[in-house]
Amino acid sequence: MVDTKDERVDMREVMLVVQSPDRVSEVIRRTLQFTIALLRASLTDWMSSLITLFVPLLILSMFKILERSAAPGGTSRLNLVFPSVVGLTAMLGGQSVMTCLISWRQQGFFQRLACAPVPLGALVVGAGLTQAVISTIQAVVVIVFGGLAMGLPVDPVSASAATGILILCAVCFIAFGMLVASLSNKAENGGAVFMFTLLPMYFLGGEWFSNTLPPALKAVAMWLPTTLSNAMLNPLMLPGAAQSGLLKPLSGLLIYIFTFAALAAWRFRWE
Amino acid sequence: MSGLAVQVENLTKSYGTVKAVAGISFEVRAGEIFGMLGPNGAGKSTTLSVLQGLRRADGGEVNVLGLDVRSHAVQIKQRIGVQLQRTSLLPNLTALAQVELLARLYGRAISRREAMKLLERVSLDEKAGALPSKLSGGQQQRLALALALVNDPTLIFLDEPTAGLDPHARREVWNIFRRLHDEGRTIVMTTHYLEEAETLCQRVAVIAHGKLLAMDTPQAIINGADGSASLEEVYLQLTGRKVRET
Repeated sequence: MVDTKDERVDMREVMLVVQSPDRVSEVIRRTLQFTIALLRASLTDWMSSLITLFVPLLILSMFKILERSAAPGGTSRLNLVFPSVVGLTAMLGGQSVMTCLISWRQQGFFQRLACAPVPLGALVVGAGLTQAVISTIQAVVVIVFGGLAMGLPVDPVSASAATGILILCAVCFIAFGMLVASLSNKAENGGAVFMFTLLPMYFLGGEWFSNTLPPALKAVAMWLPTTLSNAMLNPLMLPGAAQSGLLKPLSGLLIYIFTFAALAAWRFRWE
Repeated sequence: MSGLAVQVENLTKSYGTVKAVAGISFEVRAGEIFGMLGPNGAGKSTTLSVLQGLRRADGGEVNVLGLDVRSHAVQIKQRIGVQLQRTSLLPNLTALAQVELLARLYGRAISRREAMKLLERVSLDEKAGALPSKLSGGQQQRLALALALVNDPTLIFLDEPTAGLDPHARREVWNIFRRLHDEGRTIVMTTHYLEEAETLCQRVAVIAHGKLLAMDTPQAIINGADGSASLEEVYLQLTGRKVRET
């Protein structure tokens, strides 16, 4: 089948909704019900959520083991990487949503949804919202794990504030996952693209090599979404870290969210 | 509603340079089972997807339940039932949860009892708690049919609803179609099984290469052909000859 505009987001349908306040509230209500149903479904598929948690928990455990064998004194690497590992947990939600959207397209579930009297775009937002909730819960689990099992200093007030930033971080990478899903036909290809993009960003944007990067790479790294997330997470989760202001990282992350979401909506197709 | 559930006048639809539907006109009367026959790539599914508001026609007039499909797609979607060629089920939701989810998308807050009743109509009440992977092909098709009924539609579109089913499962599905027809619902279906069309449909349209080759009751189509004894023979004659001519 040749790709046509039919499989894209129908902007006329979206405009019809936007022009009617009653219709807007009806679409929001149905989208939220869809989100709740997906959350309930994810409870039955709790194994997938557990597997996603495995990566950050493993990284923290490895650092804990390395720290035990290191000489006493000096900066704790575990403390240093903790905020970025928590951020990574939220970011991995993008991969989950990408796999979900591609499989929905492959299995024809999108076509089924397109038959319903709710704009398909709203239902895709519902799927993203579901993943944002799951990713945030996963990130909170990692924070609790860090505090209880790794003995890291976790202040409840700062952790609550960090949760807000983690939501934003999750939404940013979910929007990126949606963009990758819009461009890929197979989950395997999409997964490769997502990880090939996320991992360099993660290492460049975290505390891993930030002090040893060459100036040109440093200039690029400071604008990565991973760096912006860490800039907001570090002061809340890393003892002694300086607060460098929220405006730049917050507005930067919002620009990323808007750009990824707009590109994903432009390239989205249900078939 | 008038006596017509569907009115299609000179419908055209292309995918790039490929003309999928080349000026088809037909009507479906309210309360009848109307079959669309044709080889793969004939334009049946494309025609259905235009009627369902999934694709936009390039040309022609299409009215469904008295509404123009171009300007009233949302209202039409609210009132029609759709069973797609693929069962299109969410893998990690039980049969019951799928029914409840789809009902909500149609703005219907159905109770668990109502959802169970719907599953009972397609003889799936005992599988309410099963995931799609635990259902047989026939059961998945019946669940997809239950989902097509969540909004209590007056018009139901079925795209090859019995494809891949064994004869026993196919007959079970036929019985459900008959019950839906007895309730006064209109059914528009595509099928490759000519026996199915002959048994179930009041009228059939034979389509090939995006064009309508014949449309009448199965018996009238058989009677109109020279010396053919069955709908299958007429179908092969019609589609075979026309395909060679083009």
